[in-house]
Amino acid sequence: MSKPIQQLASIDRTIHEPARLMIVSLLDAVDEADFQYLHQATGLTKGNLSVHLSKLEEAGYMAIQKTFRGKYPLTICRLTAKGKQVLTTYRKVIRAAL
Amino acid sequence: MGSSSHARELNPTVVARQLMQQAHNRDGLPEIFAGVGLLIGSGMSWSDSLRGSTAHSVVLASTVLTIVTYCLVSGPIVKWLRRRYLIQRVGYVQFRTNKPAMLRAILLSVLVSVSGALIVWRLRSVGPLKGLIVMLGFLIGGFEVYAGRFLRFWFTGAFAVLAALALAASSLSVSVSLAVFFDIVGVVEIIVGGFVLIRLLSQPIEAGE
Repeated sequence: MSKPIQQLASIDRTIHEPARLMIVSLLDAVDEADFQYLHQATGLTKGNLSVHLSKLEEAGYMAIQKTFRGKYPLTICRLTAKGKQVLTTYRKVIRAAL
Repeated sequence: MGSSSHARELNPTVVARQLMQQAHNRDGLPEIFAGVGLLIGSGMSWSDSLRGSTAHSVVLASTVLTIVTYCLVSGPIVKWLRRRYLIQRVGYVQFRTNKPAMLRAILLSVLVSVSGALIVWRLRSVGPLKGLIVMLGFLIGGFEVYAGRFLRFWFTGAFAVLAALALAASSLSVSVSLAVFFDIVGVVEIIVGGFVLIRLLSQPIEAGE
């Protein structure tokens, strides 16, 4: 069995990136949120946020649904079960190591 | 202690909650609704002027009922207003349904309202309770600074504390001081929240993603 500090080497780099960790942590605390809300809560630029959301979606950590509320287009984001599992593991590793 | 608070700052969950709290207070609606709640609450203290008549108990009981009802409906109303009129500016979020927390909030609002009513009811027999106003001032001011996450909450929090201290030092009776305290803090909350909301509404809507 590896020591906690050694497990840091195997940490998930997709969510280890600060902006993505912020997005994943936010989405973990809610059921779902749209792009505009995440844009305001994280303070990231729209372009930057869009890139990070795409990476999280590609990794299968987040599901993105495009819909409308009246005339307003909504890009709704939610964590997948895989995303929640990865975040839980990430927290355990960081907590044990630091 | 320092390292513990540092660890909390680094905790992604804590940071996420702080960010959400900030986003929650961005449009000024929580302040406006809190201000209206304080104005309703002041009715409890103003009812003391009716002491001796049967209207006193009726006004006191109906104020308690109004406060509890208001606590229950204000959250959904804020949510509806945001989704109906502000969604393009503040975005959409669906918080997790936390039934135990909702139950605790309901019980707490009932407990606070009933205790407040009992205190107002017994005010004359227990003598001057100016300390109660100071305690309320620090409680409201502290909560604003803790939960607000914006500089303006330091202003409204400090105002609540200063108003409480000034009223406690005044020659006004406890019930009148309490009523005035709720009224002026409520009005300031509504003004500040209204200003924030108007400023938000005057900003151009950004193009969607």
